[in-house]
Amino acid sequence: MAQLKNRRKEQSAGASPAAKAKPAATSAARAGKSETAKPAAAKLATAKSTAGYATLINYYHEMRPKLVTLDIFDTVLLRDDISERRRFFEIAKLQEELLAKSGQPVAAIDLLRARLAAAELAYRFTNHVNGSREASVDEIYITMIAMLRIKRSLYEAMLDIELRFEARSLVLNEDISRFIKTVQQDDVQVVLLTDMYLRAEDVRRIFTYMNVPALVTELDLISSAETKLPKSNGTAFALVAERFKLSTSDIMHVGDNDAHEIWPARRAGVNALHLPRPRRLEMARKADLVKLADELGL
Amino acid sequence: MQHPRGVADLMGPIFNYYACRLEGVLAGLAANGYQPMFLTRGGVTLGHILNARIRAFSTSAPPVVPLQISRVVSTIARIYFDQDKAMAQLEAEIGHELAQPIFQSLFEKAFLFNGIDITGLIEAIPPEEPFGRFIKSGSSAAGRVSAGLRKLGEVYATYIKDSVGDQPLALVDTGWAGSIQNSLYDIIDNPIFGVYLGREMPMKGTRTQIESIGLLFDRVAGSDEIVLSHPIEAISEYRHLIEHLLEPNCETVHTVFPSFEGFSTNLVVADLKRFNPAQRKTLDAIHKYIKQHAKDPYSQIVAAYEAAAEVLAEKILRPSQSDLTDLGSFTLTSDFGKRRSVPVLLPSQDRFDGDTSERRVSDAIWTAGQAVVEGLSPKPYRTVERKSASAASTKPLVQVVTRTKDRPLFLRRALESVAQQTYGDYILTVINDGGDPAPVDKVTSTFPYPAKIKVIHNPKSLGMEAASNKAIASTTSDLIIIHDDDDSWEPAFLDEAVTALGEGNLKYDAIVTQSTAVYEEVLGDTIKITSTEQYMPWVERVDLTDLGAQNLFPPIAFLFTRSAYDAIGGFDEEFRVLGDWDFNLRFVANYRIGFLKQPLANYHHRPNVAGGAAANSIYGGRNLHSEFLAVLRHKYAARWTGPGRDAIFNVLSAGQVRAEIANLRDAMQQMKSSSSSSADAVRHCAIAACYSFVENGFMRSVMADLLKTRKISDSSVSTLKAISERDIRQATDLIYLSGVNVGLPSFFDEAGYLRAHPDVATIVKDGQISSGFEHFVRWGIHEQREIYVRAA
Repeated sequence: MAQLKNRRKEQSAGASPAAKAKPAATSAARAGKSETAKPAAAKLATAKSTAGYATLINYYHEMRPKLVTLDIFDTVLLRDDISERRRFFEIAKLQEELLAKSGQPVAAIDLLRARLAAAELAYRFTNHVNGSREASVDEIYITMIAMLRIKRSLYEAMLDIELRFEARSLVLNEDISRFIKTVQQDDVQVVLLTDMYLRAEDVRRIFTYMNVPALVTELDLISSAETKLPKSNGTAFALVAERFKLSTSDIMHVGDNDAHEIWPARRAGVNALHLPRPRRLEMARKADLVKLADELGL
Repeated sequence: MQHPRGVADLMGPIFNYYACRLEGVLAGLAANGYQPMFLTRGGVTLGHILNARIRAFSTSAPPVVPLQISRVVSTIARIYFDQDKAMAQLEAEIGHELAQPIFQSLFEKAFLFNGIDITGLIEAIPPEEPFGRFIKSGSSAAGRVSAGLRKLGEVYATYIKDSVGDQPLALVDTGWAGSIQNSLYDIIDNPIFGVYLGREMPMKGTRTQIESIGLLFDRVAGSDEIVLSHPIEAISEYRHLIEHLLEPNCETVHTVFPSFEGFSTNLVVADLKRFNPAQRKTLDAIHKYIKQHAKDPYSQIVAAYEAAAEVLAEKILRPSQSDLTDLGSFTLTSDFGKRRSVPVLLPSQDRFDGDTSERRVSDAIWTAGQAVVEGLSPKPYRTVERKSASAASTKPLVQVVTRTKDRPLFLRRALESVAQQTYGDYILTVINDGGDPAPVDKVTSTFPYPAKIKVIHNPKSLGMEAASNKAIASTTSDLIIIHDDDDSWEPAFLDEAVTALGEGNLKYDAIVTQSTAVYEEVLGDTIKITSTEQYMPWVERVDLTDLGAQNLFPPIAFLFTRSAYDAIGGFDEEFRVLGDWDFNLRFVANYRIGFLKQPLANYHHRPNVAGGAAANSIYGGRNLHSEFLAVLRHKYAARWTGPGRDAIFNVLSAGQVRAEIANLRDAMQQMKSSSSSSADAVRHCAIAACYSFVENGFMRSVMADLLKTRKISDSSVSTLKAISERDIRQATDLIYLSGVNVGLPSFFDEAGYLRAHPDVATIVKDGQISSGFEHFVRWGIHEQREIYVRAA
């Protein structure tokens, strides 16, 4: 009971500092969107998270975990304010150029629509594991390529376009980076944990294209695309506990998604700290999604 | 909108889109090792449609690998592995058919092929006996049939295993419920994934699902809704249209199996000559369309499909007279190997005495078409808005559990209450806890959304809490609420409560709304409401300390998450009444509950009914409630060790103390105001109270435990502090300010306390207060001063 209450206290503590976030720093980070125009791996872009290093370290000191798991997207790596669908469309435009050069012309809009359909199918044809379906990027691409009858040999090049684009849309969270350094000084292990269609190898390629330092790239990385065990139903945490021979209560998790990782983590017995995405960012992404739908007639 | 196109023209764009998706999914599954097999007969035709697409790109098409199987074969093969399940399936399919003709139709040839002696067997089967009764009759003939079926099962199972090898299988077929796949799970060990044209799913959230995908649609079986953005779902209202189109006019596998010589692949593979002219016309149109349009840009393929699907849906759901000819001019062979054939549309004439137009519509294969034949309006459908994947995932599914027993009058009202909800994502589980099933079935059959209601009959009563747990275990909803059969909601209840729960990033694990207490009487077959008032108007939040004194809200007002329900272990089945209070205590001790200040729940009371089916548990079960407090405290003292135990035990004890204090206060006020000469009575009362809760009562033991052992958890300290601050202070102030000389309790070391606290000694000496004990009880305990307890 006491433990539960403590966790709740921390949850609110975790949430409230968001209001105290430094808008200037955050805006500056988001303004790092201009980084997207820079060549890949030219310079590592960084930004601060909404809650800040102090929130992270205070929670860490209170919980004294034996292992820390970190969500990757929108936590370790901060995304810009365009919607996911816009990102896919921008990627499709680049892939359209590739396909045209390869003698297999497919319009970007068809690539986008087929990709969305393929993702929807891939998440449904992946077998249930513990009540959840997790698709991987290769399942999505293989489905899409077959639907569009694109040569399979172009798959790697198309995926590479996507990963490079992702790299340009992301910045490293400075606070998390500093936090990892501190935690590692205590000999506490840090594991990156993502519920994502990208496999660990794909995320590592993004790290490479971003020029992310070894401090992050050398960490263990577990993706639900491969394990089929997501955070959203708590099984990812059980997997980490089993792999590292710990109890879930020995683990501290940090992530941005309340519904899909923070509460499931707490229900699995993990002490979880919520670093929410700024509301402004959420609104901007939603607005962008609506704008894109209007533009493309989707 | 006018749609001049006929069904043959519509199928081209639909199957062009289908083939595109089929190719994508088979490629994705192949990457995971799944090899496609096309089930005879419809699946094989779908394989050839896929190959029409592949050939349109001028590449060679792979062979269509058939799995020669039928529902009959898969069911018989299942007998070899799970006789009970397979026989139950067989009985469900053909149990009501006359045993003799069904034997001849389904099994005679197969018995002969496999050397099973049938000499005199057909004659020995009673000609008028249904198969279900015959097979259970224990007769010699039934024994021979059962033995023959077991042998046949072994042959079929061996054949199936040999056919599929040991690879993971992607089974391509029309789909619907996927019954062959379901049987195959018992027959082979291969991983199986069904790739179906469409699926008719079990009710959303129920646990029985097979691994499969519907490429054109997934629809809840029996749903009354058509999703606007997926009009193709209309096919499930007339799936025989597709089955008939895709199935060649040749023997089904079980009628020739295992005479392999006569059962060549060519017999079942889509040789167009084996289709009748109408089928051929449509299939030709499909192949021609695909040849011309497979290479269209993907967006165009989708747009053409969407336009065609919309027209087809209109034709299926709201057909014109000409649509009847176009879509309904064929005869179907009865399912599962029965020899009869039936026209899709029946003539509008009585088939037997008492037949009606409505009955024929209800019996028809294509109900909307039959309605037009009969001059009736087709069944109305609710068309619902687009459900994108993200929208679907953010709208939680609520399970509404209605416990009932022999109260059809109330049950009908409860069902109306649920049906009127403006929030549509729910499953209503009615659990009949040992009552007569017939009235429950009758009432539930009137529920306007049959796809959303599920009825469970308990042969014997399990008790309220066990019934709830059983009902809750039957689904996988996100949220749960108990809607007892005698309560009701305002139409906005679910909508408002779900919205409130979702606000603030899942800040809460449950929502309680304000309730209205509705007082009523049962007069024959009617319920008369006598008065209403706000239920517990002082409750504005849900707090564990308050909940320890009394239950603060009824189940009808309490929407909670399944994850929290699971975590606290559900309802305690040992309680006959007030199990909801016990559940609420455990819930509040571990999770947070939001309070919605809107009277959206109606908590119905019938105070004049002492017992029987119409009684409320809080009135009819009054004598049980009085036993409950002690039982509840005992549970948390001795029996239960889950999360929140300390806190619950403490608040229950505190609740008891608070109740005593409230009684004391009332008594003293009453005596004070009634007579100035009642000082003795007040004094007597105060002393009694003081002794009851300080000297001899609960508080002494708890304080002594606290002080002596110092092993009580932090939560106990905070709970006691809450009691002290809010209640002891009131009580002690009242006692001392009334001028009563309480005296010193035996356990209190007055001298030690005064020695340790000179400031207290001074004011006692000055006469400002009566004793060190008074100081301790009124101020010292709150100032966390040391207390001195006499040595035992």
